[in-house]
Amino acid sequence: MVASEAISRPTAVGTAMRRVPGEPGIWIFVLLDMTIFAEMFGIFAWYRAENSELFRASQGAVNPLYGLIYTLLLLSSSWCVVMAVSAARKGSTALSSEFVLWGLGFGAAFAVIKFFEYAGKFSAGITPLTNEFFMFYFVMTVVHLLHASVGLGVLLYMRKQILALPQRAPVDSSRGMRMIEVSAIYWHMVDLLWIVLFALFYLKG
Amino acid sequence: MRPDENLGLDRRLEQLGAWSGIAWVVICGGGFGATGLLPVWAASTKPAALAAHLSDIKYQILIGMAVVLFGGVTFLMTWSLTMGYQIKKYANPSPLVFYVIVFVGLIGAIDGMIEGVIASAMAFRVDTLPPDTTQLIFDLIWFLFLIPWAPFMLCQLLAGFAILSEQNTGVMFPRWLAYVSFWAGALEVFCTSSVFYYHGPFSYNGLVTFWVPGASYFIWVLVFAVVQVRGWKNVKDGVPTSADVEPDVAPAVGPRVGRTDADRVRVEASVGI
Amino acid sequence: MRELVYQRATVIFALLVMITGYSFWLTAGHGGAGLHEARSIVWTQVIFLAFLKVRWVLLDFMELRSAPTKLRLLFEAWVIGVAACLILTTWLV
Repeated sequence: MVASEAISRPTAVGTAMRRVPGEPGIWIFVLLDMTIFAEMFGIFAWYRAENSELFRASQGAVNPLYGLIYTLLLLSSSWCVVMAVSAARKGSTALSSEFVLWGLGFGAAFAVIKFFEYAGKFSAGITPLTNEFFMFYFVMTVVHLLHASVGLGVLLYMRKQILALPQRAPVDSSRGMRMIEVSAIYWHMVDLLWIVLFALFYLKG
Repeated sequence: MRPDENLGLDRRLEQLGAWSGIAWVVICGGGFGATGLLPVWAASTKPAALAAHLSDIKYQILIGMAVVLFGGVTFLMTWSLTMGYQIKKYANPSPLVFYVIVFVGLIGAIDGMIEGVIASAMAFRVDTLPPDTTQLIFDLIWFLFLIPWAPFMLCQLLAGFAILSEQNTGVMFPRWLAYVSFWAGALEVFCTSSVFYYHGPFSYNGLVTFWVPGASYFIWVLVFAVVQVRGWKNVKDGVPTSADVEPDVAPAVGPRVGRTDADRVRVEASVGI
Repeated sequence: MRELVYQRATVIFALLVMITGYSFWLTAGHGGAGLHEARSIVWTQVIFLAFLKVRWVLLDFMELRSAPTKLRLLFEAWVIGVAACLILTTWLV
């Protein structure tokens, strides 16, 4: 990874190469958003502990295979986005753009399969009003899906920024490169939040 | 009136407008707190119990809501107008962004006004109305607060985009404020679930649905207003605003002419990030 | 292309996939029955593994490993704090 750019502010001796990935604002967003999700995770865990039989029984209606597929899709998508950022830094904008498209593809597949899963639930008569487990299940996964959907737009924006970079030269921390990193960081946040949701809802305990 | 007198009044109002955001948070938040309506009782409460409780705190509600109606409405209006004005002057000159911010500020003020009036009327008649009716009015207060969330999200998103735009020199609004606006905007969606649940975290008194968008809106206004107040020292003597900055005409290829990251860091440092 | 793929992030990706598979096997494997351990023990393992993955995404995908230390520690604290809270609910509630 290429280190040290114009924005870096050395924090101590020997750490002159440390820089804030993207820009500080995206980390404020990520921290705040992760905190809200953490609040929901905590409330869910509390309800789960208080209603363990209900939650265990309800989880029986959730197919863990869906969860596995979603997780693999998002992990792959994130990896592609990491590759895209690396390629962009090296100036390989065409390759970078291709990686973003793959990331976008995996992300879109995630969203599409979600609809099938929700449809299956509804046709089985399971809705967000069925019981408290499914209240959490639907609200949290839908909010996450909204984040992921916005993320698809962010990836498209990322690709646009990549295509606007200078070709073939190592790229310094221009505004374009910074926004590419910001976009990637948002997408990884979507992935990371999913990793927890997978554990809460799809892995039967 | 001499031209510079008029200008002086406008500048003074601009400065006060920023402070009015802080005033709004304190007065509206404080007023709401003083009503005794927080924490909000669940929608699943039996009407008779709710009416009895509201009757107990009748005068608290009336006085608290009088405070909310006095400062909570007025200062949200003044702050929103100033915020829109300053976004236009220092971040991005787009008239449409300005109009949306102004309109949403108006919607917010009217929404708050109706909440205050309804709450006052509810307390005014709590001893004579059937409890079911009292409960419905009680529901209305919280639904007014929560469910017309969409314009507020639009305002928060647009403010964020304006701040991230090329024309923003960062003299008043640092880039990180845009990300805080995006966060606050995103959280508004939680309000929707309040009409489907009668208790629990996603109902109108819920730990998530009430407190997350509710608190985050107040936090957003507070953070924004503090930025505006602190940024005043950079602009009070007149500095290049977004209207003076030439928008980039070349697409984002190659190094940016005229403004480097070092400049941006310098500007950001001067506004105290 | 090869030098692009042969980097730490790819190793991390492989690890993430393996741990995902392992947690799946822990719970839904064994012929769909999952482990017969107490729920609390399974939950603890599942949460621990999930947050291990979250930490790797933060450090190696989001590049916090080379970020200023304070920023990194903030997120490490989030990981540890949230994981601890979630695990504790199953033991204390």
